[in-house]
Amino acid sequence: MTDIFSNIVSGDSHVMEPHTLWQEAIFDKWGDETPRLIDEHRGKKGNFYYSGAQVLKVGRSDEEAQKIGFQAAGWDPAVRVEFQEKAQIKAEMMNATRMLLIMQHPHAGVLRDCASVFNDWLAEFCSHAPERLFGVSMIPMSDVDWSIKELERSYKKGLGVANVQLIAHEGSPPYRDTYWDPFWARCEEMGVPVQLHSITGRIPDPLHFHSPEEQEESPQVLLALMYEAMGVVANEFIFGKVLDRFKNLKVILSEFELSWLPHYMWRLDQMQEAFAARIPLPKLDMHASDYIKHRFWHGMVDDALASTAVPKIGFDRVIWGSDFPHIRSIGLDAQGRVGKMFAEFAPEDQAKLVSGNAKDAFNLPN
Amino acid sequence: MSDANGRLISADSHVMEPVDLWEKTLLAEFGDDTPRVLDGHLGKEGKFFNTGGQIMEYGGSDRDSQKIGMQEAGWDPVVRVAFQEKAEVAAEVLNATFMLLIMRHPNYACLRACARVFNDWLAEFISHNPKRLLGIGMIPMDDVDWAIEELERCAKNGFRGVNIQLYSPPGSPPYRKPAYDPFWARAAEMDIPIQLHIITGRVPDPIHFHTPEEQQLSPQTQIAMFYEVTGVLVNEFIFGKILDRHPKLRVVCSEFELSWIPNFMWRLDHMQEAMAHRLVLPKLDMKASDYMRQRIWHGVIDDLYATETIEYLGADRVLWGSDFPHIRSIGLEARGHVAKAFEPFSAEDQSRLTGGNAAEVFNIN
Repeated sequence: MTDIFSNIVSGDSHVMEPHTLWQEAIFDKWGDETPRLIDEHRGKKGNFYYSGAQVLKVGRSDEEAQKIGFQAAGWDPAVRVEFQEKAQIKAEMMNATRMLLIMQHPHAGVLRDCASVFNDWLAEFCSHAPERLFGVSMIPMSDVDWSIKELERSYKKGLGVANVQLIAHEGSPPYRDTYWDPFWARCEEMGVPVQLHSITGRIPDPLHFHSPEEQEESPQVLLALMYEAMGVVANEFIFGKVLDRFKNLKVILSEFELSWLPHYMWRLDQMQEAFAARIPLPKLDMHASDYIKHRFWHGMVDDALASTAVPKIGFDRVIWGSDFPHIRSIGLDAQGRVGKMFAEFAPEDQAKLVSGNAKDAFNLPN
Repeated sequence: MSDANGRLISADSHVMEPVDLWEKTLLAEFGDDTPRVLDGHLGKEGKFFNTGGQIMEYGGSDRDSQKIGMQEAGWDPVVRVAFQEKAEVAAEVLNATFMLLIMRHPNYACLRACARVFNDWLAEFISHNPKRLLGIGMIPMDDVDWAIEELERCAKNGFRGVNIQLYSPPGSPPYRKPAYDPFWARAAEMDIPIQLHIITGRVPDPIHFHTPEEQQLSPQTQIAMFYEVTGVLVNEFIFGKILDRHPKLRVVCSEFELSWIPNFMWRLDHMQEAMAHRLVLPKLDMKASDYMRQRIWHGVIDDLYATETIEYLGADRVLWGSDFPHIRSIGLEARGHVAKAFEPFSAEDQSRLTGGNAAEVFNIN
């Protein structure tokens, strides 16, 4: 077990972008549309962050890093590597924090510029330790030509995974539309996996609700956020036939956890079979649930029901990630936590879950 | 396999209302808003049914009873009892078919009138054999005083429960608001369970999509419909504290199946515990997931993962139903089906799942 976990790779970790990143880079061009710090919201003084779609409460997203004295690991790659060494983590897939929520920015032009600024910053961050820090680019999906160019540009800078908006930008064709086929084709050709991460869709993050009226809706909004991948996976990637048209496209679901999947797979098959006589659906190349088992990878942090879900999904398709330094994250105790979570699995399966599958999915070096 | 009294009880079956039920009674008052048969839709000839919320292409909803030559079991209680005898089913909890979809009717006065007509018709239907035919009333929720009166009328008619809209109708306050407390209080006082049945919420039924544009959205719409109950449970009944304010109220989730529940329970506890310092949530009287284990009953037909879900959830709150005569239904083969589905459980649990729990929640002697 020690040997396995000496190679631990987090398939889903986060940077914490400097607050001033976009203000310094694009405020002159976009003015008040620019994501930036603000010191007042709805008459309340304080530190807030305008993401374009929501006003965020500042200072708590990296609570786990603060607790262990590693807050700078969010933006300082030297500190990040120090954290990794102390936590005995060999490498991390580095996802955004603020840029995730900026993906809901309603202004497509601003959003594209924000993504380019972020991708440049992340590439610079990861270049400090390219064998430990693997960056995930952010690719808004409102203009397919631009998305392909940004995919290529980010890739050249070393960002080998592309996180797209969970649902195509408001007003754009849905992902099943052939409008997007050149993008999927280019990802496939370049061997770049496409990632769908929670909070990049259309549902706001209830952690940043401010008024009592909003907060009353928190439970159902949070739940909808956790389930938001279901619609796009069923309608676009499976029955929308994106995965049939692009047989080598890799898709990773990040931070949606696992234990919803067995029921969901059964429902997909039920649609394809029991409901086929009543609901006209396109003919698929495979059994509907097999797309979940063979074409997607599934990120998990600490799903309490992982031990029953993983065997149903398959040991080859689950990727553990720490979510460090976010609210639910696993920090310095990563070794102990994954050891406990996966204790009942065979050593070769544990190895897949804590590193092997991440390497396969994200094309990481051994 | 049967309950402690040797009975197999379906906790979720359906009547098929006569298609002209509302037209005959309400057309003069509500005109084109009245649910009724149409001879064509979107330029297509054929029989359609306008529910007020959707246009249904009808004729396929009771396919299972058609196949076995018992279509009249939907509206003729004599044939229904004959079906039950042949299937060796002791009793069925009878839900609506058309009226489920009518619950999304945007004209609330028309909807209330439709519910009354349905409830009268169902009362007549079950009166043929009250031991075997167990009625579930339909109660639209836009007017709480009216809803209480209709609840009382349903109880007088001998109904075993009432089905409310899955979500309060658009424009009305959400269920967690005190405006509905007199309704929950009266239901608890009268010992009438409240039922939340699939397709009575706000998501349309993709089985009745007509255009290619609509049909392209069928997969995500169907998924949204399967999961629609999750939002109302978490936001209204659990964190909205209806179940805390009304500790004797019983809630039944019907036709949503089971295997989504363990993940949902984990998410509930996660909200209540791990996210507590970042979300402003009301303090609950119990651990959030315990509401799913103790206060809510869950209907199952043929969930692939029923066995392990019941092991996780407990056998006390799960109700088997045949869904007869609908698309997924289990008709004459009910006995064989439940024997196989619940084979791994103890005799005591089998008896609960196949009738004991239904007898308890629906007050069946």
